[in-house]
Amino acid sequence: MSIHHLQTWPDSCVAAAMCMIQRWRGEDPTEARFYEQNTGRLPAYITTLPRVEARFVEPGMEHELRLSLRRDQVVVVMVLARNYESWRSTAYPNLRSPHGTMTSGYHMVVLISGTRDVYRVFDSFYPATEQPLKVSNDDFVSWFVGHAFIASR
Amino acid sequence: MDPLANTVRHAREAAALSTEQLAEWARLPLRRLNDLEEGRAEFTWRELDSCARVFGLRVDDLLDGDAGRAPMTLLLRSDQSEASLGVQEYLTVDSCELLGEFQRALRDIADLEQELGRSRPALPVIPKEARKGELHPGERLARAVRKELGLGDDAIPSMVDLLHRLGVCVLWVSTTERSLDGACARLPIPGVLVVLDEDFPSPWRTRVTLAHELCHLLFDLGADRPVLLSPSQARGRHLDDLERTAKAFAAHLLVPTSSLKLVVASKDPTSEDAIGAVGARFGVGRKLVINRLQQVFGFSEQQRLTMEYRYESNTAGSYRADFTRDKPPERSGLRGEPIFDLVHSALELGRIPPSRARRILGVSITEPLPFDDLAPELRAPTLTPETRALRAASTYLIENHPGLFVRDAEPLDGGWRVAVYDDQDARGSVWIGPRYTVENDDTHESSGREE
Repeated sequence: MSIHHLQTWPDSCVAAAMCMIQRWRGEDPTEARFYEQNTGRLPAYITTLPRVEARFVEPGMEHELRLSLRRDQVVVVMVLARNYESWRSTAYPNLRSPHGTMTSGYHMVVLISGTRDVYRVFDSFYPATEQPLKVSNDDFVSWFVGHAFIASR
Repeated sequence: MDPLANTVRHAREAAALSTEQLAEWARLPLRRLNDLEEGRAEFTWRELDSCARVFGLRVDDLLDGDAGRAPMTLLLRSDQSEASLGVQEYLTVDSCELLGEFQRALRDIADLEQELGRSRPALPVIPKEARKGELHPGERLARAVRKELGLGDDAIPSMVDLLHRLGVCVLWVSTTERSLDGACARLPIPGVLVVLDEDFPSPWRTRVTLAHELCHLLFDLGADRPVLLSPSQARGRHLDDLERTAKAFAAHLLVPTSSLKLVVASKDPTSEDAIGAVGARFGVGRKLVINRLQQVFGFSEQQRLTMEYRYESNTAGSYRADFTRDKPPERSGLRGEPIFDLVHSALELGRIPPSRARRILGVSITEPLPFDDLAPELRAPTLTPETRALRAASTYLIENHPGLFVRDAEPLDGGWRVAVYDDQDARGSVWIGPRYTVENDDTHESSGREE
């Protein structure tokens, strides 16, 4: 079952990531409520959801995230929007967002699984077609900021 | 409860190991391992990696549930059976680590060869000849191998070449760890580990080790015991029976009796002339030559000791055997040859991503891969200095200036100047020093344009 949630506003990726956690837990998504309450669009707002833990991952230790995925957790990661878009436009050139193009700032995507070479990712900025996206470890490192939020059931 | 705790516990139980033993070999405090197994703490990658190595597995293998059928698991479990070799008595923390890394290397080689579509010949099945007279079992096996492989009675120019011909992968490691001479495994591919003594490099020992491990590979390994170690010191347990046979096998394989007699011919078998001729012909060490001469010509133990002492006192340097064909490769170590070349080929052909090449070779994401002939994009650091600077600046901004974000980074004074923006405008910059820490914060609440 896909947990993908298309974000309603161009800057509601935090709220949309929370909705994907809700879907994964079998709950109804409440994007508008999250969006209204998190006026600063702060990533750490995600931890207002129960059983979500913030974690900082040092460069070179990204594989630690795979352990969380193996524990039946999902991982929301912060990414450099410009680097992420650069990868996305090459790997998935046909994806079109109703919000246009990300050019700068940060974005959040949700990792749902990881093997030794590849992660599978849901991105709320784009429609569900072609998702989850597959990203290699190498590409992941090129856009991951280091901040992650681990959600348990 | 951490589900990974169950994975480790099942692996430990499959190998019939106590938590004390696993903790020691994985170099984890016992209390910590107990907490992890009981779900009072969560395994880190490093801890899981240490546990996986005890079973000769990589973390992913362990997570995939491979521990139950891992060669090391089977070897350790066989220690609980009636046919126990008492292996655990020989394993030190260091040798256990080495054995684990050896098997991990074999797994990586097997994976790489599969990616490259390469295959190895199956190990030959060599029937053990019926007992003949007074022949030592090791000699009997050596004769059988020579016969089956068509080696005749000639000297073996290269043991490495012979093992490669049989499809056996040879790995080399140089260490001061003295409890192991070598090891071998049948799975996932046949492999031999040669432990080189860092302090006293002995080229002749290499050939003996290779022959010794060949004996274990052909005659002592099976489905219930697919890996075996060769300890440096005997301890009087069952494993020593196998060791004695393998030692005799190596001596007879490398120096067959009939050829030895021909080489000595009319020489005095106790002379330096005979010792030198035999050593040069068969590429073995002086001590082995003297032992073989004693066995064949039957002189006294006193005479043997005299021959050894004679060398130590006044003939050093006169012994000339050619060991060049069995010397370690230039790039030795478990991650040296052949893994290095396999990774190169697999990467060049696009069969593995750079991240896998890095993991296998142990190269950091901030360092280039050591393949100067490959395309720059294949060997470049995964995490470029620029992205690393952006990442460091982002970490700082998220914690100290929520709402601001990075845009560009440009080199400045050995570090990076990272431009900072909010939704609309430039908000100054932060300077990331050479160690990727924020050295200067020049951000401001309102942009210059607004001011």
